[in-house]
Amino acid sequence: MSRHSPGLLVSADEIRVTAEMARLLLAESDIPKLSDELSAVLSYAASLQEVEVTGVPPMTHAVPDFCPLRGDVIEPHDSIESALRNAPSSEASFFAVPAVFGQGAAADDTMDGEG
Amino acid sequence: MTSSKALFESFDGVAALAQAVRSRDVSAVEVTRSCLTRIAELDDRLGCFLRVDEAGALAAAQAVDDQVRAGADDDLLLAGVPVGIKDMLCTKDLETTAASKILKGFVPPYDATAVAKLRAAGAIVLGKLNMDEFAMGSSNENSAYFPCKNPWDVTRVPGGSSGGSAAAVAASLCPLSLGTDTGGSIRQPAALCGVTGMKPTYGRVSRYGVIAFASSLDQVGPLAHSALDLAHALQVIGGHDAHDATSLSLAQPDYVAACQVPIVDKGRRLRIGLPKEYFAQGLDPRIEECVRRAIATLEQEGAEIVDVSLPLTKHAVAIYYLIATAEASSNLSRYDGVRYGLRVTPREGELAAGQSALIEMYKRTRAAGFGPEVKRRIMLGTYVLRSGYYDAYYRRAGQVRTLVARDFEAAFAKCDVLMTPTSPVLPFRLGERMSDPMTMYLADIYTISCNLAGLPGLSMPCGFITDEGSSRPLPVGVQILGKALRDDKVLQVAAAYQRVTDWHKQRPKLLLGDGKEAA
Amino acid sequence: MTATSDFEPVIGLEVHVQLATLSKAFCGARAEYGGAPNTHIDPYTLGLPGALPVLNHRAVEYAIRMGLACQCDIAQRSELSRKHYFYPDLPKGYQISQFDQPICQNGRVEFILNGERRRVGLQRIHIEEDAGKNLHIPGGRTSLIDYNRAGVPLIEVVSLPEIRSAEEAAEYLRAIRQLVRFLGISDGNMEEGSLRCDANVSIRPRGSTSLGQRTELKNINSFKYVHKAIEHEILRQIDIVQSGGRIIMETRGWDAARGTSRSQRKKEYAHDYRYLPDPDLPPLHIDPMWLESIAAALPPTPMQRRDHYLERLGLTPYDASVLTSERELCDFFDAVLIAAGLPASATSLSEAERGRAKLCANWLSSELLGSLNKESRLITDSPVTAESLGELIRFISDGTISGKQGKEVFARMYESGETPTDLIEKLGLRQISDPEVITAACRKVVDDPAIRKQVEKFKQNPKLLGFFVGKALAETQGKAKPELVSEIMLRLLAEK
Repeated sequence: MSRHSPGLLVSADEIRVTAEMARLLLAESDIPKLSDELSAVLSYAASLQEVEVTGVPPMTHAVPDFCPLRGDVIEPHDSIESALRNAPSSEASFFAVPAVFGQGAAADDTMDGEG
Repeated sequence: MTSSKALFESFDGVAALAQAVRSRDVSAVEVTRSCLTRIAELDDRLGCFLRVDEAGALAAAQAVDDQVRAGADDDLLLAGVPVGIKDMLCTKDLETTAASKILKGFVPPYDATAVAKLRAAGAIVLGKLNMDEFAMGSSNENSAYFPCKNPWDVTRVPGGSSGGSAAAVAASLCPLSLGTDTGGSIRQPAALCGVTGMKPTYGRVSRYGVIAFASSLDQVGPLAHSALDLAHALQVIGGHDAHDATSLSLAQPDYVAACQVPIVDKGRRLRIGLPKEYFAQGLDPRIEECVRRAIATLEQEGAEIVDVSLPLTKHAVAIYYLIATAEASSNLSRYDGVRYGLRVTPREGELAAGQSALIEMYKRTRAAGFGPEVKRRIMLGTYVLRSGYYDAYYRRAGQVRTLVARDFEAAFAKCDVLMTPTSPVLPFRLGERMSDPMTMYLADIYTISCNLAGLPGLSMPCGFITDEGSSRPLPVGVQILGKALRDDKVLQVAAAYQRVTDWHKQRPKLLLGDGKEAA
Repeated sequence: MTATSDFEPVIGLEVHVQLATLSKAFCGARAEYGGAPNTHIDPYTLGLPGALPVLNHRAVEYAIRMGLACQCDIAQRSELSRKHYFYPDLPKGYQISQFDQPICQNGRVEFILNGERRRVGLQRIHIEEDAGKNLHIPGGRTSLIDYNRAGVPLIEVVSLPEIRSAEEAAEYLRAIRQLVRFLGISDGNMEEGSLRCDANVSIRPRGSTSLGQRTELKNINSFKYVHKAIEHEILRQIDIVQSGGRIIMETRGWDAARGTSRSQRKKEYAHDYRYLPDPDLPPLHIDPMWLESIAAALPPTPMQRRDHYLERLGLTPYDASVLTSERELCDFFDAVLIAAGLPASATSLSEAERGRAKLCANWLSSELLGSLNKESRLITDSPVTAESLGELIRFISDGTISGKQGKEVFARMYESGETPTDLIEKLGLRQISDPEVITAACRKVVDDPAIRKQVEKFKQNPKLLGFFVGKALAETQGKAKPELVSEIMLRLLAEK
């Protein structure tokens, strides 16, 4: 099941990996504090392990188990200007970002794209 | 021109105000101006509004007046009623930030459905209300801009996360506001600010255009001075929305009519359940006393009081923090500096060998854009969704959540509504609790289960307490919880209580900038 | 030292198919390919705060069609989940996909490989949304993003590791392309990215049943590259094993220009997508009535149509393959059959009818396709309609015109688009097969005093029949049916 049993301290390394996944730049000095705080919440949450849940389905939605479907129709939308108005950086009609295949990127983990 | 003071002093509910506008006793522009004036006078010291849209509000008011003059006001149930909107709801062409730096400058091209419905009913959007960043917090101190203060005592917090929504109504800056409630974010500040606020049944009000914190728990609701005003507002903002797949496709009950139903209706006594776990250790005894008096008042009105139990209450906070943070870490992934909001790009030469400018942009943008509490929750949520931990944390929390919902079903077999305290503590002083997130989380114990089960809940004032070392009375809130879809029942009980009490009519004394007291 | 043939490749494919809906999977933005950059967008497509997904019913219907055609189990309840990763073309930081409970499970894809029927099992088919596109300016410091494609509905078809060669992988992919086109759920256009393929490849000693360490090949988006990249990867792995090395689990990108693959290193946790049931989308329930109606309206698969052509019409496997290669061609052929008086749905045909069906197949594949191919035209662009071609075949098989004349008529039809009826009239080609008319013409010839001598000679030399037939045909300006003329002439001469 889990790599650690719940309640165990979240190590500094676990904090670093989690921050990478969440794309959060942490100062080294933030790490021990986060490690403590996450550990505190998770050890508090360890009480959930005491509850008998065999055969109980998890509740993921607070509404009846029914997914409404929409008709396949095109709805009018806003102009490209309004889309780009909020963009931190754009060129022509494109949103612009630092090069996806820039320095270091190709060898790292930006290659998750499905396309 | 009617003075701002006269207008809110003569305020007798949003329906009466709309009627006055529609019968041209007062113009929407006058009403709007009076609110804008009051905001200008008082809000520097309160911090309720993150931004006020004076021009937009006056233009909208003018349009309502024009409609009234043209006799085209049949659908304007809230004609000229000024409203404040929590900054969690998108407002077309009006900056919307969720009180976060990461969304600074974001101007939505669309209105949240609830906002669009208010506008269509003739309500006037005054501006955007302060809150804890991304609705994460119970004190409003997590706003990335400035804290909001409690109008009853400006050294104290208004509660959160909809602190601005509660404080603005309490200070009569607007008679009605919208908030969002994920774990008590409407009810707790309503309690702390002495106003009436409601979280409807999950799915009653569309979440379309509402910035997501924890999607399976978030619900929009109104805050006002009375249950009747909430009924009028909910009638307008509720209902099915095809743009939200979790919106209930059911007709709404007549909430306004429900407010007239007595506690003993056609010989049947309303049954009020008291869950014993909500009157346990940790509850301020002075608060307990007020709440029990409120229950006694309703008993006198004919209600039958029954004891019930919600044994899993002690697990609610743990479930909540696992589920809410997991969903939040997912919902907040979109704030990446690519399409809108803040972007922090590493400068030339700042990159270490092998570092990607793009990844560094993500990491720096999010580090600079999110506040400490938001980061803490993103970290926790990301952690619990990791493949090795998912089952132990997120999935198990979901299973116990199922049991919490079943607990409520069992309790509601014995009663129509539950009554409990809203908050175990009085409004605390600013800064008092910032250092200890866990204590802050535990203060949400009474409001959280309602969101887990998707039930309707309301908080209303039921007394005042003057805290030690303070000269100012502080409001106490009582919470009413109902069965799913029985929002009408919750409003019925609250309205019945407010017919025989006047706690909800109390207003704080506010100091004007020049030291004089405002009414 | 082991030989290459001592190893058996084990291949599984993940094929993404864009569904041909009008609007996107979860919002009303236009799903059409192309368009000016960032014009097929709306708040949801851009991942604006507060925008919510609502599932497109047609995307579900198309996924179910594919599932039914592949004989999958269709889940009555399936779950939509969020798959998290950060990439500029992914607007929300997650993709809505299916994880725990996909809409279709099990099932199989059938196709013909080297004349043999093959069957590759499926693990699952699930619904998901596409990402946008990043444009990389070579050497540039910025990438540009176009979200037109973001949110377009996809199905991902995941095969079991049952494919055993690069050739088979390419054929399997062709079968999927053919299938989705026949089902009308996608244009299957690989150039436009409507069909995309990743492959998981491993090798094992022949005879072994365990699975070797696999690598994932990404970005193999043409039939040619699928074949080449997999072949290359198999040989690369064999090479490593033969030289004593170990295969490492990795993702490799195919570099078409260099004809080689490159490792795309990832951090260990980059594959942790932190799946979460989407709280914005309750579980999807498929109403059994709806499922039934989709099944009832399901177009036949290419393999079903192929079987029909082989078994009912008696066509050759080659003809059947050609005719089922594209849905438009297959539909055209069925229309030709009907116009030629052979209902496509006929369950049993007489020998003569089978002959006519064969005639239809021949005329379509050699004459019409031959002409179209010369001009690189598609069947959808044919100047000859199926109705006209069928009519022509009917005229030929009932003897109204000869096969040779048919070719002449066909050439004119192809040029002008005129109908065979009109052309036969216009060219005066209609054969005379009325025995009375022919008898009259023949009688005129044998009664002609000028050729009495030849009539006499005929009795000794029957080879002279051709002379009389030629005369009689000339009498009818060549329109009489020659076989009939011979027959009647022979009888008249015998009477003499």
